[in-house]
Formats: sequence, C-alpha cells, structure tokens
Amino acid sequence: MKTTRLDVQKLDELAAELDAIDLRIREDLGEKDANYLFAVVRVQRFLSLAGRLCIPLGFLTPWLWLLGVLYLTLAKILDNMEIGHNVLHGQYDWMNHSHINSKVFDWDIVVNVDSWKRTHNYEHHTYTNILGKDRDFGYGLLRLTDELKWRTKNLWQFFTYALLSVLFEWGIAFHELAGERVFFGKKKDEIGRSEKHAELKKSFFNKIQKQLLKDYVVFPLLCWPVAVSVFLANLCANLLRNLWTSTIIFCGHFTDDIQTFSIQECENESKGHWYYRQMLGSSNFTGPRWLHILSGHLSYQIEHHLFPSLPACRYPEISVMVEEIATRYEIPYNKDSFVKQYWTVLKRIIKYSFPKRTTQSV
Amino acid sequence: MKFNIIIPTKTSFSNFPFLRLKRHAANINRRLRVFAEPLLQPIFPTWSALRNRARVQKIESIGDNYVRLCLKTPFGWGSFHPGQHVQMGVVKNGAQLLRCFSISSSVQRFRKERTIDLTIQVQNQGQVTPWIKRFLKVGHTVTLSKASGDFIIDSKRPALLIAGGSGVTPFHSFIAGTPSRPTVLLHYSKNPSLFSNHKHSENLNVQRFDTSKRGRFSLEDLETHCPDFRTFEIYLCGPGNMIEHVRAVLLEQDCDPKQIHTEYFGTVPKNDNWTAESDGTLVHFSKSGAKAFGDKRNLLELAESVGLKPVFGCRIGVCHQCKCSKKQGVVYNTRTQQYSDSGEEDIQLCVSIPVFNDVVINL
Ligand SMILES: Cc1cc2nc3c(=O)[nH]c(=O)nc-3n(C[C@H](O)[C@H](O)[C@H](O)COP(=O)(O)OP(=O)(O)OC[C@H]3O[C@@H](n4cnc5c(N)ncnc54)[C@H](O)[C@@H]3O)c2cc1C
Ligand code: FES
Repeated sequence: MKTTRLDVQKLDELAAELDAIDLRIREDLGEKDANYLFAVVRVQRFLSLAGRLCIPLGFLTPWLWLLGVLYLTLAKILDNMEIGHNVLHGQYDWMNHSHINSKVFDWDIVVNVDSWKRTHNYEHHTYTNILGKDRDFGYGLLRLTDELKWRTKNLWQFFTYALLSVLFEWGIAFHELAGERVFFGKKKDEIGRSEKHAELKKSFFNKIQKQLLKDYVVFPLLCWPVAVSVFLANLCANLLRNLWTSTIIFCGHFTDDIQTFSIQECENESKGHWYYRQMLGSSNFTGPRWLHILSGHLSYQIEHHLFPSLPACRYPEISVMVEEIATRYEIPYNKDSFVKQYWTVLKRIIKYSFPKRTTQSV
Repeated sequence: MKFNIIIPTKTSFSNFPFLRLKRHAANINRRLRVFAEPLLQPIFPTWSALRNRARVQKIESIGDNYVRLCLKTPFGWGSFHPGQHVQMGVVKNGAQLLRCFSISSSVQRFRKERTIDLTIQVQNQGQVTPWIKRFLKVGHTVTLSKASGDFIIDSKRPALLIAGGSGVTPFHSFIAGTPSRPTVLLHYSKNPSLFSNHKHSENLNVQRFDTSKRGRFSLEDLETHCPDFRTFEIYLCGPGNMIEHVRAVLLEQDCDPKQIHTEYFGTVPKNDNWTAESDGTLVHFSKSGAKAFGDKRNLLELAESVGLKPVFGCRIGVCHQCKCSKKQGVVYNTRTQQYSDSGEEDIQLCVSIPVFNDVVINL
C-alpha cells in the first residue's frame, strides 16, 4: 500500500516549513532542557545505586532482590534510551558539557559507541528505509516487506525476532561487523580493509570485555557470598532492558503502515523528499508521560527521524506542529496506542514469514 | 641471513601489564567520578567530575569596561607561571561557555591564599564578557581549566613588556610578584589610569600611554624608556595589529626574532603567504547537509554563515573547543601555517581555511 507521492514544489514547501520548526526550537533551547537532562541523569544514578545496593541484600528477603532488579533495569533503560541514545545523537552538544556530549559519552550496553554512531546515526538516519542501504530495516534477519526475496529461514522468523529481542544489545553491537562480513560470509579482499577490520574487531571486543567484566565478574565478586544472586540479577536486568529497547524500536519502525523506498527513488533526493521519507518510514505511539520518558521519547519516532539532533524532550511539542503539517499535506501520520502499534508489528513479522501471495484481481 | 629488528615503540611499552593496570585504574576513577557527579554536586557545588570549579570570591568593576574577578581555586588545581592563561567557563542559559583569560595576580599570592585574579575587558558584542559583568555574583562557581600556554615571562633576564589594552593582564601577574631583574612595562590603552595602582619596586619602570591623546607605540618611546632593549627579553601582548606593528619596529632595529615573544588577544592577522585556490572550494557540512563555498574565511566563520552554531571559545586557535573532524579535503592552518593531509583528521575550525578538493566537515 503506497500513498501517492508529492510533487517537487510541494516537497520544497514541506522542507521550508519543517526547517522553520527546527530553527525555532533550536533558538529556544536553554536552561530548561539542560535541567531536564540533569534531572533524568540524577534519577538514573539514584536508581542504579539503589538497585546495586538492594540486590545483594536479597538474602534477607527475595523481595529486595526483585526490587533491586527492577531498579537496575529502570536505570539501564534510562541510560540506554533517554540519556545514551539522545546524547549520542548530539542532541545536547550545544550544552558543551564536559562528559555528557556525543564525543565522549559511553553507555552501559555492549555496543561500542563509535560503531553505533556510524551505523545508526549515519547509515540508518540518512538512508532510512531505503531497501539495500538501510541495514536496520529488518536487521538483515527479518523479512518485513514483499520487496525482499523470501527465503526458507523467514518461515521461523518470529522466533528469530523473539531471540533478537532478548539479545538486542548483542545484535546492535554486532551490526557493523556483520555488515562488513568480518567473521563470516563473503570475504572481500580490498586493500586496507583487513586493517580496518582489525580495528573494528578490537574496539568491538574491548567494549564487550568491559561490560562483561563489570556486570558478571566485578560486581558479583564485590558481593562475594551472594555472587551468584548478583550475577543472575545483572543478567535479568540486562535481558529485560534488551526486551524493552527492542520493543520500542520495533514499534517505531516496523508497524503495519511503514513504507519502504527503493534506491532509484532516492537518488539525488531533495531535502523535502528526505523529510517526506522520514515521515512515511516511522510511527509514533501514545501513552502516559513515564512511557515516553522510558522510551527515550522514541515514542515520537516520526519527530525523531525528522529532527534527530533536537533534544528529545521537545518532541511532544514538535509533534503537534508536525501532525498539523502532515494533515495539510495529506501525508499519513502513523500514530496509535502502544499496544495497538505493537500488535501490528507482530502481525507484520508473521505476515512476511510467508512468500508473497499472488494478488487476485477483482 | 635476515634480521628482524624489533624497535620497541611507545605502544608496545604500554602493553606491559602493570602500565595497563595504571590506565585501567585511571579509567575506573574517571567512571566513578562521572557516576557520582549528579549525586554529589547538590551537596558539594564546587566539586565536579572532570572540570575544575572555582568559587568567585570578589568582583570589582574597574571603569565601565573592566571587571576583576578573584577566584578561589580548588585543591589540586596546580600552579601557574606569570603570563599563562586559563579557560574560564560559565553556564549561560544551560550552555557551558569557556573563554581564555590571562591570570593577572602574582604567584606569591596564589601560594598564600590559593586565589587568582582575572581582569576581564567587556566586549560589547560578546557572548560571555557582558554576561559576566551583569550576572556573575560573589559565591557563584565557574569552571576553571589548569593554567596553560607557553607565553611565560622569564624572570632570569631583564624583561621589556609591551601591552595594548587588556593585553596588560599577563604582565600584571609578573610585576605584582616584584621582579628581581630590571623590568620595563610600556602599556598603551585608551584609559591607562585605570590600572595605575600597581605595586612599585626599584627594578620596575612602568609607563602608561593614553592612546586617545598621543597615538600609538613609536620607536621614540622605546629609546626614551628602555634604550637597552636589544639585550632584553621582549614580550608583546594585545590585539593582533598592535603586535604586528611593534614587532616590525623591533625587527627593523635588529632585534633577534628569538628574543620576541607574543600573545594575541584578538584575531591573528591573516597571513597571505599561501597561494591556494581557496576561492570556490566546496565545503560540505556532512551532518547538517549544509554547503558553502570557501572564500578567505575560516571554517568557523563559513559554518556560521550558513546558520550552523559550532562551539567555539577563543576563535584564534588556542582553546581547541572548535575541534571537529574533517572527513576529507585539504585545509590551511593559519596558526601553524601548514597544509593538512587530505584524509580524515581532527582540525580546529577557527584557524582552518579550506583550500582544495571538496572539504567535508562532520558538523
Ligand atoms: C590566550 C588569551 C588570553 C586572554 N586573556 C585575556 C584577559 O586577560 N583579559 C581579557 O579581557 N581578555 C583576554 N583575552 C581575550 C578574551 O578571550 C576575549 O575577549 C573573550 O573571549 C571575549 O569573549 P566574549 O564571549 O565576550 O566574546 P565573543 O562572543 O567570543 O566575541 C569575540 C569578539 O567578537 C566580537 N563579536 C561577537 N559577535 C559579534 C557580532 N555579531 N558583531 C560584531 N562583533 C561581534 C565581540 O565584540 C568580541 O570582541 C585573551 C585571549 C586569549 C586567546
Ligand atoms: S575557538 Fe578556540 S581553538 Fe578554535
């Protein structure tokens, strides 16, 4: 199902209107946004500290252990989404902060930030939903459109999806190397490539080593008599966070009405077409404020894709303007409740597990 | 027979486990501090994970245009040499803005009280200095880098100090420390009386000139007040055109370029030694998608001209805040007077002029 595409002049007008929003918000950034971010960071630190303290006390009562896991999971979610993802997009670089900025920030997941900035910030945000260029579309594992050839492995892609969700951070960490076919697949012999690969591998393993040591060796050992319970708690927190992040991302990108583009369509595209593509390629979900914060405001995926470097806490106010523009230009604005959006994601994964049915003419 | 000679490089040394341990320890320390900052700062406002903070102890207005701040430096801040500068940062509307200022008080006082003075000229159109004058209050904290810079006034030889306007601040740090060798200070400014209450001592000869009445520096001043200037170490500080003018005069008088030391407070005069086809070089700012054509302007000005707002501090290549990654293309560095590679590297926008190939900047 494809909407009719806008003509060149319309697209230019669209670009002008969206550029104006970008400028207006950028001029308005200030203390309020900085204070919001600091508040989130402070809450994250409290949760993290509380979690790490409650978990070893789990020997008193298992409830404390459970509470600890909950706190730690929330801390990890905030660190990953509302803080990490957004800071690494450079949304808060105007603050010129010493360590909360896209150049030096590091997050509490196994993903190497530099690799992520290349694949996500650059590749995915530039070539959003262009088949063959945006490897985030289905992550090379899932078939989510008929434009992609069906393979037998797609039959069980629902289980692939479930597995990917639980191990999401590992998938993202591995993303760049998988694309470069460093460990397996076709070997490309180009000059300088193997050196670059060695570099990539090194930073990949460095980050993984750090994370594994921290969560599964150092913290358990620090609480020696209860090492096993701390180990398990950290494992749970990491897996729960993975599940959450993956679900949020899928709700923003792979709901039913999300459209894809071909490379030809986007050759030498205008700014207007880029904006247009971002709007058709993302979806929002609604919900209470805490849900937006825990999703890193990726519940406003459309706005995030239009303005990836504006502070995410501004997306709610921007979305009002964007939705109004979308109505005027008759561009679909994909928004629904969290549960409904997720339901369409699941349907989509199932639907494209099977080869394309030949359409019957009426 | 072939020999494989292995030369231990710096990196192979750092592979020794104990050295790595030290690096890990530093890393963990850093991470703990970063973790603790949001929790501890409400209790200890002058503590910060990575940047030093200092408390404003006294603020004094000097005339309409100058403010003198007295700052209590934090423990572990280190020390300084007369002539060096710091980067002071204030938070203005949520953003940390860092600017360079020279220390204008003596090392002796620092040793006694751990305080330093900064004498700040308010720039009418500036972002930070007018804000300091209006909003900074006693008791506030500012961030303060360690002192740096190789403009250091050497006390082992007689010194001739020539300053224009606020360029006198680093020299005040020196003369406040009661120099033990002959020292001559020539200060050119619009209202020189503002700074006349310095400490007097027998080695010291201070001459203030009112430029609104009698014009700029001339050879006569030099011959009247410091006839032996050829045997002195000579230090120049102030706006770029003043420094160039004085330096030209000195060189004409057979001074050795090695005896002249300079510190620019404003734009460094553009050096036109390079003959590249800069005009019309396409500059592509890859993150924002903006494009501009190079003229003789630097990349910071070019970026600003297409509506981008990169972070900057000094705009003359001192503070490194405008550092940015260049993906490709050749730029000319007006400070080091060298051309860059054409590959990927970090450059300072404010001293880089795009010269050839398409220049791609990650901004
Ligand atoms: C090593 C070093 C040491 C220094 N030591 C001292 C010191 O001890 N004391 C001191 O007073 N200064 C010192 N300076 C200079 C000082 O750093 C600058 O004056 C300061 O950065 C100005 O900051 P600002 O934010 O007020 O101005 P900025 O916003 O950085 O502007 C810089 C200049 O551009 C002009 N400008 C800005 N915007 C506009 C506009 N739209 N139109 C026209 N003009 C504009 C301003 O008038 C100003 O002169 C030193 C500089 C260096 C490099
Ligand atoms: S702005 Fe200070 S080095 Fe460029």
